[in-house]
Amino acid sequence: MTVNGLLQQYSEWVLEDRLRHATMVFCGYAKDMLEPIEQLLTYSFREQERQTWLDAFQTLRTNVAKLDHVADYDDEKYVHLIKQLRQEGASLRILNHIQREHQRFLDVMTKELLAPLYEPLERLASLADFDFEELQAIEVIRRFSYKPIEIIDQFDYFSESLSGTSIKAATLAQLTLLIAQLIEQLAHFNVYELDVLHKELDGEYMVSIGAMPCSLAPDVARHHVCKVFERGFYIKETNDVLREAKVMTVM
Amino acid sequence: MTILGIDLGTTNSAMAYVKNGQPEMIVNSRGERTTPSVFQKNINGELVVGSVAKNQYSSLPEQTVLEIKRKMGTDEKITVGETSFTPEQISAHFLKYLKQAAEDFLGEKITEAVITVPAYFSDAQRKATKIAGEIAGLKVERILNEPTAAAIAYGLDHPDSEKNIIVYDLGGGTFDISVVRLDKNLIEVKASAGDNHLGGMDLDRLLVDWVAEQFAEQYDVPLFSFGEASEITQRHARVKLEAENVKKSLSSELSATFNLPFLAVYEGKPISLDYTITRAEFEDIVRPLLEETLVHVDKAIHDAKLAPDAIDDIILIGGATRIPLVQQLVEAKFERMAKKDINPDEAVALGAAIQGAMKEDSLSEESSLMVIDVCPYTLGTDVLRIVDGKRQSGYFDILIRRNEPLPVTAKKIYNTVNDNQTTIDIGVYQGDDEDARVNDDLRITETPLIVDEIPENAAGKEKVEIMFRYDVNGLIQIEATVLSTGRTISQVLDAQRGIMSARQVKEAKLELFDDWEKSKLASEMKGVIRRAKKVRRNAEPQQAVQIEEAIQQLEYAIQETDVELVKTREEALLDLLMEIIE
Repeated sequence: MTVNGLLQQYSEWVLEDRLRHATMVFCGYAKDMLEPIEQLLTYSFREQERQTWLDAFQTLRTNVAKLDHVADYDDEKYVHLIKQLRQEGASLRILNHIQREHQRFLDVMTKELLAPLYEPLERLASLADFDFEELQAIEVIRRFSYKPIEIIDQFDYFSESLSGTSIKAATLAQLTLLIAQLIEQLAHFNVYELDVLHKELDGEYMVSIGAMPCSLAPDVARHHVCKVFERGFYIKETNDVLREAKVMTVM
Repeated sequence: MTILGIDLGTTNSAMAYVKNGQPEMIVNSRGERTTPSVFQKNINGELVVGSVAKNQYSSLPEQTVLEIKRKMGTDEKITVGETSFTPEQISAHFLKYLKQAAEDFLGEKITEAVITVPAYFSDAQRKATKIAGEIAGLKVERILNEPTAAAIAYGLDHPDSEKNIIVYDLGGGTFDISVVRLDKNLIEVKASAGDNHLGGMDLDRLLVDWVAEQFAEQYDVPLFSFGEASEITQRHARVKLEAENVKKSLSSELSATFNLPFLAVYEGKPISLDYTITRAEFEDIVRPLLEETLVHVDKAIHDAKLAPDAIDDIILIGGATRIPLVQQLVEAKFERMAKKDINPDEAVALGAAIQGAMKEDSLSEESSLMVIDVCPYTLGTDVLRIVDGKRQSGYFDILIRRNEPLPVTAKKIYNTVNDNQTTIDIGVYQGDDEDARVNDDLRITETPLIVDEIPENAAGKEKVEIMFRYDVNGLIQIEATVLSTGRTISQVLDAQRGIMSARQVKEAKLELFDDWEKSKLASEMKGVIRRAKKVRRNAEPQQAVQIEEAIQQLEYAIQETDVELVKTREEALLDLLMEIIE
């Protein structure tokens, strides 16, 4: 493989490993959330109702556990690739650059840092003179963030179901806060939530699933979003919509 | 000059072009290979099409038009908001969108296209499609049958074939079947049949019903019967989306699960659904519907005067043909494997692009093909007959039979029935070979063609030769000649029922251009307003007020759809922003 080919290969591995690592970070966070939620349920309901909701909660626990147990990255392959670069006669400038990049990569992986995803890849693309688009970063991010987003949906559905019970508003607010913190973990994928609530309907990044009478949402303007049924997400650096938000608007 | 190949579908449309002798798909501005055939007047009164319109549909159902293809060729007016549109005008918006997307993709102006239609489309429907193209600013080089287009795509990949092939097209909402003869570089459609209300969406509905049945069995209450109206809407949307996913999974897996956690709260209990359906169960559910397609297959085979064992190859197109049962049923019928080397979603657009390239000679000599299509309906006129000694009118007299290769010309001589009869009315009807009598539904002209100045003579003495010509675009020309005088009257059926006149087309073209410019401008303005709001956030209070006022004025101009005013106010807003930033 040529020097440029090796650098492109390195970039592809970095992208995948960073996202695999992001999945692990996210999964760990989601698991940590389960305990406080279970406690909230235990204190919020009495006897039979408590058992009903704790049973229902097991669905969530099971689905979080289903999140891929992704193997850690293999540092050996990087060491081997850098060796190959030397053998292929890569310049000192390139070798220095790749070693600096690799140190940053190791820092992110070992310290679970929230670091930019595109920047180092763009630097490598420019160094190796390959088209950044060839990495198909959006598709790779989509593939890796799919399951975490699905888990967020399930937390939302659970929270939505709870809202119809006698649970205290303050407890529900705590749950909402926990979900918001889980969503923030998507930043490891370079993925952020679309801000759509109370915004005017826009099919560019929202999918309407219906409209409700204004009497049910008197504070929201006509054709504006009164309820987010499924959150939408986008990739921050490119503004590409990863998934449109599914919303309900006011008639 | 590129000629665009357009698959103008009921639910989705697609486009392709030929590059270096090979057809390639063109993606739209959102990077999609297919564009939903959805038209809408949005909240701001702008006309939008495609995914954005589809995404907004549930909030704006009265301002949205779906499946307009089913109304092509009718004179139905579709009211969207306060404006009414003809089906041609709405289709023209799709075509304009595709044209624009192709121009952006290719970096060149597109003025010509080959557009596909179902094989069973009538003359009026074809003409309406052609007019839609004209309104969109496209010269429609050819109206091509969808299965023919697929066969062309297939023919290009197999240039030396000499075969009878079946093109089985099961799309989102329509089913189409054609028997095609591929003879080296000649493609001849021998027969076509279909059902324009049968497709993949019907299969999704059956799966939703299945989930509802399972739920009712388990909880003893209908799934979509309890809770607030908005909750039911959400529930239905979730089940429908999951049904689509499950259907797709079952094409590659032997079972799939409807995993719908916390779908509803019933009597205080949260309900999560986790129903697994096997491929065998799914097949039991959809089998009756899919078997219906085989009736049409039989009809097409019969019309082509072939036996099933004379079919050499089967081409499956349309997304729903990915379902294994569809493949099994068709393969069992013909006792041979279906060809799997064509993308079922793209074959039609690719074939249309090849047809376009044939005209502009961008295909090499070896890969050029000749296409022979067939007349999808039997065409004739109404005559008077003597039955049991009595004169009876309204008999259907056939001039061109269904499945005749195109172009076709047919002539017949008729005579006067009354003494001193000086005129003959020629009605044009489109029916089936079995139709004995005509009725109003079969009539395709608003008024008959009137042959006058026939010399006064005894009944039966004067003869008039009537000629029907059906061209490759499926358009009908009629000519009548009074044999004794040589007087000839001819008419291209451009004043058919539901078809726009040349003047109306011209007006619609201007209107579309105007609407398009306004909508384009409005969406450009969205970006300007977004930038202005960003500046406003960090601006001094006094400046923020100024920006807000300027934004409001621009928004007002957009609502008024006054192009000049929008431009003036955009300029004013940009000047203000520049001043503040500096």
